[in-house]
Amino acid sequence: MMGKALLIASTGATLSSGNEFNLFGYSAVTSIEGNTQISCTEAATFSNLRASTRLGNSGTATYRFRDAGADGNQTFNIIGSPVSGEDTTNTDVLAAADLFNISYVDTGSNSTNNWIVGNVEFSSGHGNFHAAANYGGVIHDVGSSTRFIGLWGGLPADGQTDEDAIEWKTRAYDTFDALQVRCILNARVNTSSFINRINGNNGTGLVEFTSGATGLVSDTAIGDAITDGQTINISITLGAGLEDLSLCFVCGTLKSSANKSETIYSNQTGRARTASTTEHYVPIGGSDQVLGTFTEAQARIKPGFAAVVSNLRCYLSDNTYTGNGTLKLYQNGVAVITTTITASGGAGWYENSSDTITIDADDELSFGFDEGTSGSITLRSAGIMFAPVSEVTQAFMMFPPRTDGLGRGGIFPGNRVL
Amino acid sequence: MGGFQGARCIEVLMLTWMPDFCPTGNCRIELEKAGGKVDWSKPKSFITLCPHHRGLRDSGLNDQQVFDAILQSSRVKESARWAVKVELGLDKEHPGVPYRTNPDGSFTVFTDTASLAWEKDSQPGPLPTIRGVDRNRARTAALSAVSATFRPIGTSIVMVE
Repeated sequence: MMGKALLIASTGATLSSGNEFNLFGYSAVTSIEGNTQISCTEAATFSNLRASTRLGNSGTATYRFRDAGADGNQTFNIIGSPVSGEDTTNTDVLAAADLFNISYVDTGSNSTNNWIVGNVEFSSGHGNFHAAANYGGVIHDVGSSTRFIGLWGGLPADGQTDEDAIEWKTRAYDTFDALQVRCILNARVNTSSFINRINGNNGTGLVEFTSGATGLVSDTAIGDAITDGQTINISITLGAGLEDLSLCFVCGTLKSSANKSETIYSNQTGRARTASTTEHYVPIGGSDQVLGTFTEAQARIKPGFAAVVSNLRCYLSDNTYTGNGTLKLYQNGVAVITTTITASGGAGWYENSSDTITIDADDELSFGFDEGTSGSITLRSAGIMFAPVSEVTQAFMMFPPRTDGLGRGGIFPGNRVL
Repeated sequence: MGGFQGARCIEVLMLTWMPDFCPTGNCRIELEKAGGKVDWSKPKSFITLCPHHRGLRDSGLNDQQVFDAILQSSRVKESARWAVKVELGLDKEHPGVPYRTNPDGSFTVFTDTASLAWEKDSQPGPLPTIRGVDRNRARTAALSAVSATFRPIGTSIVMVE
């Protein structure tokens, strides 16, 4: 049974000593811890905090899990770069409504990371937190309007007018459980509202900030049903006026009765990729960065649990490729699932809903965008679904097939396309 | 109105507001959600009270008065910060005039260039030239905005540096 889900912070923002952040895609960090504190709306255990540093860090960098503004148990050091580090021993057990974040201090130069990652396992049921963040705060001030925000990647200003562009087609979750928003500046003269959206319709979740109210507002009484293939996101509605509302994050709690979860790599305002035979690698979650930032090896992330991985997909708000392009899922450096980005396919979802792979807890995954002949695409999101490994398959993974010619016979569940 | 329920009380299904300006610790307030609206006029219950706001309650304020004091404290703070941003002509994308919550619950709003520094796309964000006269003007505007805001008993005071 797969209990864990994966939280991914991947960002272009450099970390300097004293910074605070959280395990979600973000577009800026801060030294104000409160800005980064997300409510653990479900009692949960956090584990395997880890990071991969690409550049900088001439001294020792210390990463630490923070629970309600105090040091948690998980911590590790990274000395130099490129180096990865992980706390494989300690866990942090949080009660519902505890606040959590990650702190960073270093003794040398700033760190540029490939990713910072952790696992979370809900105490009851299965699911994951998904958030879009900008811990320095980002202004929303388009009055008399409703706009749309995704729960992934960096949090852009003002939301988006095109809901299709920022919504996520979920394959894993069947309940939209909770919604929380942190507001650090509120000069609005009327109420600002956030609603969870399912397939383009309002859910029952509601987070409001009356005029002048700042802080964290959480609605944990949602429980809206989601069916396979429906889209999820949130809306923001501002009343009349041009005063500032500054947000640090919007976060949803999504649950799956089938023990599934997802990771999502995103750029809510869109990332253009010109067709090229040079493949561009990105992590399987977090906030989009300039194409070419990552080598395949740098983009690799270990989910940290065994799973069946499927539904490699992306949403493109534009696709003028003149030849087919590809989105590939890499497993330990080998492309194992390919989703075809059909030439001249225009805006829409591109998904491989048939191919799956089975991974063990130490396998590493990444995405690659390739080909297209000419023209371009505009990427908004890309992701995969994790489902539990069947008991039969799991047994074989615990006792892998023999390599001495005396095979066990039956199912071979190794890391292959099924 | 449910009253104070004690620290670390865990309720799963509720709508809560956790103000971000308590001097130490956090207040956590349950609000009523009905008919597609959140009722910000009164608390449904106090799940936790920070020491400062607990002190207000211990001094004799009832739940409604404590709630009003917390909400209006946020409003006076925000009115001052907004007045400073407008008066100094800060960039639209400036994430907000910084402030400090003092141990007694009062706020200090900053108007100096160093405090107002911000980042845009990982680079220093634009700032206007801020002279002493500009800061004086901002200070006056902020205090005027505070004066125009309803301040019931227990509302925090705002200082502008």
